[in-house]
Amino acid sequence: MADKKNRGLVVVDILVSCFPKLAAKARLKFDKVREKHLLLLPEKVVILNETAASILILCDGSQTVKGIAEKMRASLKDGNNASDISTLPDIQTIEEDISGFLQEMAEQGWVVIHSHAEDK
Amino acid sequence: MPKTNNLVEPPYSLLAELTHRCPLHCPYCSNPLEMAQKESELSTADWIRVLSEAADLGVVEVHFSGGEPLLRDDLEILIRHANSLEMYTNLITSGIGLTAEKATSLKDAGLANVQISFQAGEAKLSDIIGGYKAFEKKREAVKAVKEAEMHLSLNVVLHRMNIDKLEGILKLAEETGAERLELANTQYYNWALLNREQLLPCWEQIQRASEIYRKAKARLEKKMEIIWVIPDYYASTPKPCMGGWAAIGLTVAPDGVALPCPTAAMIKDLSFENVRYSSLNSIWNDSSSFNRFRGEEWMPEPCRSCDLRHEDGGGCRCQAFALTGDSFATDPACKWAPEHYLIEKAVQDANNDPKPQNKPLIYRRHQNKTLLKK
Repeated sequence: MADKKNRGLVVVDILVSCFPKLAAKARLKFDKVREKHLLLLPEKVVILNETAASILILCDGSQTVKGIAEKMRASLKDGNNASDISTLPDIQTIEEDISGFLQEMAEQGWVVIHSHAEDK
Repeated sequence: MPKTNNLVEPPYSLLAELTHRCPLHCPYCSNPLEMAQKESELSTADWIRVLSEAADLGVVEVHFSGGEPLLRDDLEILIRHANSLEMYTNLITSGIGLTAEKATSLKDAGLANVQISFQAGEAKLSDIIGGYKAFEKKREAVKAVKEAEMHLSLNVVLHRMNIDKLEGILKLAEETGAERLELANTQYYNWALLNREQLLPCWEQIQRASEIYRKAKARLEKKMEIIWVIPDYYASTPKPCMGGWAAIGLTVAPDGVALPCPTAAMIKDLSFENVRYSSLNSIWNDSSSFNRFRGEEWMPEPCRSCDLRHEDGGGCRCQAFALTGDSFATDPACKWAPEHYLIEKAVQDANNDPKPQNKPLIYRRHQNKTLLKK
């Protein structure tokens, strides 16, 4: 368990300054019929939860994991009323969670991790 | 408003078979023996309407197939329309006609994924199986897709004539830079069933090939996704038919006939609706053909009391009909099916040594009148 955690931290170090981008073969879609966010892939449809969809929408190759984490935290803040702000996870926890999620997405080949920002 | 069947989940995918015309003559083709003629094909306007209705119904992925879909001159229009409806678009092609210009124009229209068939890993055998000098054209098509930076999948149907050359197929796939390789053991319907004696591999061939597949999958894990479609004649339980009869996707044939799966038209005791006369919504939700094998009520014994019925859904209805003449029968691929001996007999014949090879292959022809009169 501790070992797993350590490995997780190494991954975080690599990732926060990287620029994740949705793979070219993948498309995001909000499906009005099912009222779900979908990740469309060749021969595969993945049903996403709200958080996963919000993160993937930000994976356009122009922002870092750190930047995405900040945006996610800001939107969590907006969604909560003032008294709940203290219960929000700190930025480092959010970065770790997002890194872990993106690492999984990258292993599936659905997200590509670049070390430099994409020219727009 | 037509009533909707609230118990039915919406479909995810549409297989749009734009035409049955094809330059290739593969003897394992899954198209019907009796194919739609060019004159009976749906018009561009029909397909546009079908795509719109599909999107409204919940379809999120469209597979443009055939025959050879590139023989239609409205492919870009249809892809563009599907794309405007936020549907994922996939082209399933022989590669014939897929020039660099064509690849670019399809990409501009919004095409996301291309699947190109190969009959073998090298020209001579590939062209013999396809009955057409196609191999070099396919290689050019592959190059065009890569240069247009679209996702590329190679599809290879495996059978007695090419399964011993699996390493060559893997090498080809690696060289082309394909992101995905589908190794589909032949499913015996239509043309393949007609040629089963020449196509069904023996047990040793399957064993060797699945070992090669297993090693390649481990070795290429990061580089290429490899799909292995099981040879159900050698499995003891049947494959679940398309994730269940009319459960996940539907097919529209070139002449507008709507089917729960690409081969369902072979079930002669069912009549299928046509998108020219019925909406896709009413076909999916309310037609008797689509509802016929939904759920488990229709099942015969031994399926009805079998624990595996939730997994395999009683197996493939087309195979049941093709082999037993009864579309309600348990799929004979199941070892508990009353008619499993039909599969056993075919497997036995395939493993007889030496195998008599005197029956000629029957190549797919678009109009094979002599065959149909039989």
